[in-house]
Amino acid sequence: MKLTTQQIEQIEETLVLNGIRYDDIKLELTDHIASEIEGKTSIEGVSFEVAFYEIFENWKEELRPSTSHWVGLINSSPKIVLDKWVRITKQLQLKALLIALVPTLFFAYFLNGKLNKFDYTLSIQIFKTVCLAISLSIIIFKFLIFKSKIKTSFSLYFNKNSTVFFIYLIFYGLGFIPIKLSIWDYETSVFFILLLSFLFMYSIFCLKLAYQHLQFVKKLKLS
Amino acid sequence: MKNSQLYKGSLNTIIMKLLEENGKMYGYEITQKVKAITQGELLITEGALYPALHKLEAEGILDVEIEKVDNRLRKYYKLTEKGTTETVNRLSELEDFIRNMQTLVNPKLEF
Repeated sequence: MKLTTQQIEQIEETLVLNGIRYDDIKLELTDHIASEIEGKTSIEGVSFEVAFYEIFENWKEELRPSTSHWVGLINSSPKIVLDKWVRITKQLQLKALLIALVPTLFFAYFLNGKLNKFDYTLSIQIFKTVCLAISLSIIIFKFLIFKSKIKTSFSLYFNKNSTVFFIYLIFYGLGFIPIKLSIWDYETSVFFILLLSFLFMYSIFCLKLAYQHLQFVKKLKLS
Repeated sequence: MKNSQLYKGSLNTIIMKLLEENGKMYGYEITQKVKAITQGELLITEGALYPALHKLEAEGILDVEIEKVDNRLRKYYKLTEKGTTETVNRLSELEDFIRNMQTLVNPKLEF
């Protein structure tokens, strides 16, 4: 038995009440649950209400509010949303750290002692420019996401992950927090190269999440 | 999923193999197809299916298409070009694994 528009809406509303407010996940779960209900009502001959109740009982575990220290304990989300978020965050952090190690090790082993004061000043200027460029990109993507008027799990992960990094980047870019690269302090310089490279890479990966959100919106509009 | 520990490592390959054969599929369809092929022996739960699909999508192995079906939207998954190549590799690995397991479980010792 095919479900009516009202019955589909009832499924959607129940998902929203359970914290599934993100269109990419919501449309997928709505279709899955609707297909399950259609199957159950046809094969077992039970009513929509009985099938609805039984199937949502099976989904209880995936919809249970969950938290993780990986994304901050205040960010409670349904398990299915949180699991994806944690996996993406872990992956982004690891990838950003591994890539950040490349310029850090290059500086530590090949450039140390070979740069003069002018090189350090120039490097600080380059770092500040990159900080401002990435900050500007984050603002543009935040605006585009806001304009799209659609919430996806990608926009959630982008907004939550990029906000803290944006504050650091803008502060470094505008010089409110000094970038301590100095010919006289090798350890601090290495630390700052690692920190800034990590910030850059992590923010760039976050921008990819924003891009994925926009791609989803495009596909949704085409459907 | 039945005998989850044994099947868990092969879930991604199972999904990729099904998509290779069927072109594009949606979540519920995948669970039903697996159930039908294995005559109800293997049941993929939603808790295992969607994390696997989302991971494969993030890795660029799967692409997504959205279509309006009946009175709702449906998300179809299909293999990307990278996914098609990767399927061949993973199936080959899985076949090797099955062969090795058969040898271990049912050894024919020759002296």
